[in-house]
Amino acid sequence: MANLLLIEDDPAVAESIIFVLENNNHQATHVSNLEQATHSIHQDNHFDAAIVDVWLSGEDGLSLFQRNEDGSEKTNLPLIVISGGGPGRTLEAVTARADACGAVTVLYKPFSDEDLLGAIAKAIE
Amino acid sequence: MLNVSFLLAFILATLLGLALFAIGFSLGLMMKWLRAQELAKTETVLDLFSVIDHSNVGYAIADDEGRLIYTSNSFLSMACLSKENNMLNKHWFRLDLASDGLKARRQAEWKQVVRARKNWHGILRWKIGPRRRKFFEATLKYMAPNRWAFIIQDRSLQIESRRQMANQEALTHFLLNNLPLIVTLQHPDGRFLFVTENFAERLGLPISEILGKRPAEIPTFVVTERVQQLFAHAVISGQPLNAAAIEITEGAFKDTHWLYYITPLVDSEGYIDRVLTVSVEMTDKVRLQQERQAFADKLIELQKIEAMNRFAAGLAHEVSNIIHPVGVYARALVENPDIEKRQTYLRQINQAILAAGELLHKTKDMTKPYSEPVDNVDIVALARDLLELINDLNRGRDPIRSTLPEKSVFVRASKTGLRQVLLNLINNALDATEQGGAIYLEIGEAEEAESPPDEPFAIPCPYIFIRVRDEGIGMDQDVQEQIFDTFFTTKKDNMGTGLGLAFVRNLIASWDGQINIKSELGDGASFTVWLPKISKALENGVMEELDGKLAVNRG
Repeated sequence: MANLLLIEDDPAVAESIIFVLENNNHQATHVSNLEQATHSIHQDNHFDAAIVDVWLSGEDGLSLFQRNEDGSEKTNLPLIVISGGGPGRTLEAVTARADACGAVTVLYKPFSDEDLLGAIAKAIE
Repeated sequence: MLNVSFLLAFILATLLGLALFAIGFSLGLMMKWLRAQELAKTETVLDLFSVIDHSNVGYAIADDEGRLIYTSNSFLSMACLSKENNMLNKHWFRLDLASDGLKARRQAEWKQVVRARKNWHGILRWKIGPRRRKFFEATLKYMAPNRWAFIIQDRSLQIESRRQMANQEALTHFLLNNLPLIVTLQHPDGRFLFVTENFAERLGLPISEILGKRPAEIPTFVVTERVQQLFAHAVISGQPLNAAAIEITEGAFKDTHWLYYITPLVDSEGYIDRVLTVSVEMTDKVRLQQERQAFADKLIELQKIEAMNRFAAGLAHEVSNIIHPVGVYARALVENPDIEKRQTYLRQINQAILAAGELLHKTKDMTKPYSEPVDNVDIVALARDLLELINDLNRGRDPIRSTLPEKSVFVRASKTGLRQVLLNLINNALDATEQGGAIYLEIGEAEEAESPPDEPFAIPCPYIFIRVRDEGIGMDQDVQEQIFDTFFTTKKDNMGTGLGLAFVRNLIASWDGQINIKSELGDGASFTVWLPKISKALENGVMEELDGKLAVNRG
């Protein structure tokens, strides 16, 4: 069982992901923007991993996980990136950025429950 | 009887003596008179010489060798020879500053004339200083053995002015033939009276085969009907024609472009007797323009493709977000058909499908701009109607302040599409100014000076700009970069679909136009639409007018 932070702006997508997580005995906290995400990370340091949507209504979800200019990490939470694509967010572009942020894996919506659970297992190893 | 005879003889002799005396006396008188006459004549001649001395005629007498025996004052002054230095006994042909070679040639010629004892008449070039010379009309006439009269008249002015005219003519000729111009002078019936050499060269004919002929009589010179009409129009109306764009598609001038100027010239009575035409070659410029146009077309095409790509990517994002939950719930239901909250999950699936349907419905409009026919739309009239409507609907708010041209301005667009573009931009401005701030609508024509800020050559000048500016909340750089993306919205609570500006941009791109934005967060926003201006149907207008006049004339 893992304690997960879900950053996703689309309520329906978030609800379905939480459904999968809870059915598989994980615990999830859902936030829909960067401000709430930052707040949650600072409040509760017991997250095992974060599941982050790339595009958050104009905000860049990955900016929270980018390394600082001195190379230090903003947060050392293991990262699972989810993306629905979009203008300028091709498979290659998102994968490259996710790699740069040290993401465990990138999942493209729609993804299977197994893919998500597998990614979590990998993240909390 | 004898005495009578003697007396008679005596009387007769006396009479004869008297008569002889009378005759002798009268003869003497006559001689005296004649001598007086001769004297008078000599004085007249001397007077005449003094007059000549003060005129532009100089005379001298020379011997067989060309040595001066006598010189008139005028001769000395005209030839710039001083009176003080005695010129007598000097060879006349050595007295100026001409080269030794020329002096030798003069001497040789003099000898020939003297030997043949014939008169000589010609022009004498007389050098009087560095780069200064005179031209004399000279006459050499035999008077008596070893005596030759030498008369000179100053023709410098006439010869210099004629020489200048010839130089001028040569220069004009040179310029005319070396400018990228073809100049012709034609009779009103078309016959060529003058053509520049380059015209003949390009036709591959000597000028002599062109002069006197009409254009139709020169096989290699194929002019379009339009050129003929323009020429006829200028002749009939007497009005000059300036810079008509001409394309020649056949004959020696095949595939060339020209600016054609026609100026009818009138005689002293006011009738048109000649027509001056000047043709400026524009082929290179037109080619360059065509290449630029092709490049601009390609850019616009790329923009359309890019817009389509963005649209597809945006659509993919939306669809993936909608169908992801469907997959999740469907799998859960497959795994456990009797799952708790079964109804809820089925409802979620159904909602997602409805949302996808709605999305597809909304996005159907996105493909419209590519198929909707375009027309000449008066953007000014359209904007006036729309402003009236919007101001009516938004009573209680400040009306939109507009700066519109007084006359109609036409663009190629679909009328409903253009309405949607304007409505969309104004609605956005209304939303941005809910907390206050004015909205301005400006429509104008931009010439070369003002280019669209991005890809300035993508839109051929001139073009029309439509600017909607608000003093509302504005937006930061990030938002500006994404604002034309499909499904991007800053409007909270599902107020916006994120399709509006993407739709606007696609529409504008489909009319070969552009849209751009200038804004700062908290400091308003300005959207500018650039559309190519319809080239004035000026030439058509001219042709219609011409047709009318020709018809009247024929009538």
